[in-house]
Amino acid sequence: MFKNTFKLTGFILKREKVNSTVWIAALVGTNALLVLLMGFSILTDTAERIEMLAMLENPSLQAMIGPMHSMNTYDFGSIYTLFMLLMMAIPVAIMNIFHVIRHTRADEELGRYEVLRSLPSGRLSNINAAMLSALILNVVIAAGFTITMWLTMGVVESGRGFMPALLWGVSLGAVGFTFAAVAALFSQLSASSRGAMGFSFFVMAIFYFTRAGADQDLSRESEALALISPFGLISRSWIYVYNYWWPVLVVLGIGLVFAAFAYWVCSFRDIDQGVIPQGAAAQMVVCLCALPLG
Amino acid sequence: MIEINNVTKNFGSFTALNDINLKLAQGEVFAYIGPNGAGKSTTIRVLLGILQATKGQAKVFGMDAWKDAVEIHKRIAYVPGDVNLWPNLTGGEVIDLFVNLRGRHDNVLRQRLIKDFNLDPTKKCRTYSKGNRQKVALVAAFASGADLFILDEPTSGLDPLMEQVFQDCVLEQKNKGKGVFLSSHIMSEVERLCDRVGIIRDGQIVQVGTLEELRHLTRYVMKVATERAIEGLDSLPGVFDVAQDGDYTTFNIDTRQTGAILHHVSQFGVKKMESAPPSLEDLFMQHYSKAN
Ligand SMILES: Nc1ncnc2c1ncn2[C@@H]1O[C@H](COP(=O)(O)OP(=O)(O)OP(=O)(O)O)[C@@H](O)[C@H]1O
Ligand SMILES: [Mg+2]
Repeated sequence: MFKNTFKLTGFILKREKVNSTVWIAALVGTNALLVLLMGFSILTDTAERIEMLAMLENPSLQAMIGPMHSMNTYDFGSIYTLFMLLMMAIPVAIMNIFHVIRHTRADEELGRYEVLRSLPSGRLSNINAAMLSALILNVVIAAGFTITMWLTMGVVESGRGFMPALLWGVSLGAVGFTFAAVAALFSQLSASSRGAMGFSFFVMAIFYFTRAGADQDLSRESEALALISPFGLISRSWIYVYNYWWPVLVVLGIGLVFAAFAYWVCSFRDIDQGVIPQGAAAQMVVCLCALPLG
Repeated sequence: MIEINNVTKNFGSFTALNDINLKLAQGEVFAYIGPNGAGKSTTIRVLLGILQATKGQAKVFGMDAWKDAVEIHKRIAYVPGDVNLWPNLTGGEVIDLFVNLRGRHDNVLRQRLIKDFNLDPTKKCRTYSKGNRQKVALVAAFASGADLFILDEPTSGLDPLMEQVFQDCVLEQKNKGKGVFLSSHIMSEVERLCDRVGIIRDGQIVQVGTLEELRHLTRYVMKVATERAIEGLDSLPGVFDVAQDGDYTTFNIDTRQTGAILHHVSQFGVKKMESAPPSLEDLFMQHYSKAN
């Protein structure tokens, strides 16, 4: 079933060399720049930070950027992660969705997968290689974020340890992996790469808005809703405040469930076929968008 | 090497293959022909284990095409009719990838094939024309040392010179005792290469046999010039499509009635006579359009 996975993984990484390096460098570089910029120009003293937090104590802003913790700490790290965690998680998720679909359904749609399958590679080798390469990318992403965060945060604010920076990096990598798995599932369910892309982004939006629903409730009574979303979960790591690791594990667990489902579908389906009928994607999106309006 | 037993394949409510039976023996070149949409590629995809038969079983080397796909694929080479490659890799890199995945390869043969097919393996696949992409897949296939070649319209897009090189490659493999399952629309190719032919139409096998056997089932074309006009030809059993063409009378005959027809015609003083088997083209045309 998995024969030649490693060779295919190597092949994917070879094709991705330039593309992924640019993506990751851009994301990690942006992170480093923003830490320095915000640390040295906007949030330089406690008064500014108190003012900022007061402004953020507002349902619609929290729905947008994520939840504020209840502790009254005015250190830069916690405010930065509050601001930037989801803003960084979203491009990481998008990058993973593109990566996985490019190497699964898009390859299949273009007829390249057929030739690979006619070679001695297992039925699950290709999806496994796509996931393994995504895992490797996310490890690199996690490492990149960790190191830049650790270094730049050390410059802005002395006395910040390595562990919160590691949690920051790993949280982002874990979210990336989970959305790689979401994309893997829809690459199997939908017969076109556009459909797979549509469904994956749709699920990403749902995850984003369920946690927005929870986060806008400043009394924190709808926490359960946030805990089904990978975005909601990583916010609850409270990086630079409590530094919880359990949300990362839950996020990875969600990813594994999606991946297992994707592998299962891949093990029996015919080539060039999906499970969701063509056109159902568009209909579903239309229906679901009509719900809140109607 | 191939054994397809009562295979049916449905796509939803559409039956693409309806109870198909086929066999391919060692060292045999089998042509699989039929009109567009007949089910040739579908059959091949069942053989490759990338479509699962709805009913029946396809076996390659005695193993189940779906369950033992990886084992089977170690010993087969497949070339599709429309080869799509990775635009950023060179042709050589693609061949390397295939070699790497297969783990078996004849490097001397590869160099010779690249030369014969006149392929530049250092160019990016993005820049290849359709024919050149086919060549990449053909070189990788014929250099693979596989025991069975499954080719689905492999020469679409090749120029006549390259078509010739391809045919030589197939004959070379055949002489080594390898099996070839060739789906094709090019009749001259089928005529030159194949030991046996199977015709599929609307998901059903309508004929299987050697070319000789297929010809026997069909009509010969007769062309005669006689001293006097031939009378009563129309009403003779086994005579069809009588037409006058200058001095010549042309008609088709059922080969089983040849004796009686010649006897009748000879009464009118035969001056010249030509007889030709139907061209393969005619023969297939007859099968393709029959019972529509
Ligand atoms: N995935 C699919 N879903 C639904 N119908 C399909 C699918 N694949 C093939 N078909 C149908 O099955 C029939 C057989 O197709 P197939 O590709 O096997 O034809 P073919 O003999 O290879 O034709 P051609 O000479 O054009 O290559 C066609 O009518 C086609 O529309
Ligand atoms: Mg076809």
